[in-house]
Amino acid sequence: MIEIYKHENYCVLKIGKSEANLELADSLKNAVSATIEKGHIFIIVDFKQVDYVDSTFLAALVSALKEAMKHKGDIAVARLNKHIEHLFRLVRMDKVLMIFPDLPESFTGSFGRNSGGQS
Amino acid sequence: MTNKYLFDNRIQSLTVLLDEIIQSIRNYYHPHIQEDIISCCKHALIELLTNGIKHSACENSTIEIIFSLTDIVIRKSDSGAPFLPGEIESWPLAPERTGDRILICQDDFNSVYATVKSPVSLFFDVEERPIDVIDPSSAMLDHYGFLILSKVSATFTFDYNLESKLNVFTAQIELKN
Repeated sequence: MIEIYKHENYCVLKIGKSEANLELADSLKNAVSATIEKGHIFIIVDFKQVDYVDSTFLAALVSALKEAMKHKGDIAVARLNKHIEHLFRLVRMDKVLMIFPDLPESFTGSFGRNSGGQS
Repeated sequence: MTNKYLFDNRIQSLTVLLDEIIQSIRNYYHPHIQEDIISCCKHALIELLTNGIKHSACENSTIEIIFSLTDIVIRKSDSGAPFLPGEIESWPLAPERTGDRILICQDDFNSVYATVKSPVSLFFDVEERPIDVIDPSSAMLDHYGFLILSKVSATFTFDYNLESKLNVFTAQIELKN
């Protein structure tokens, strides 16, 4: 469901389903906790395979961000489709999570958080 | 024109029904509908169907799509447990509560309110606060679904039908911003 791998100086959590919904929300929180426990505090969630996101998954993403921040880390998102990006901007998630159009070469957190990410 | 769909409140059925309804909206307005409007319809449907899965505690929900030249109305009805948000304990409310604005939930950045329109109906709205500092220890919004529904809709309302005991949520999405 969620594949974890190291990419440059951050970890990628790749969602392996087309629906990021209430069924996957706990898996995301668990994957973030496991990644942080291993000392990787900069994480990008890869939405390439995702068609839609629901409110439960969004809440899990914010919860995961707070978990990462407690450890001085950060979470960003990448490769959103246009509907999901529209939703992120509508509920102002783009103000708290950086949005990348593709997996970046480097991710070390908080720069740009309050200016709407880098998309 | 109105299209009516029966949803079995199972997560496995959500994507198929979502795709079917979105395709019907595209077909009805083809080619004069903006992708932003399609996105709003999609998000509203996902949240209303998910609400059925999580909260209705009954076998089926009914989804109605009402098409017009000015807006698309998406209505979800179920006969499950009555929707009782915030401080509301039962329906109907006392008539003197009409106009009261009730806080449903809030986090660092958003407060979701319901205003009493009548003893059996509510109107939702969102108050946004500036996002300056994220507090990792502060409370989470426990009703992101209502935030999304309020944001994608021109109006988002709830009505409780005392006779049929139906919960009815209605999202009205304008065709032009």
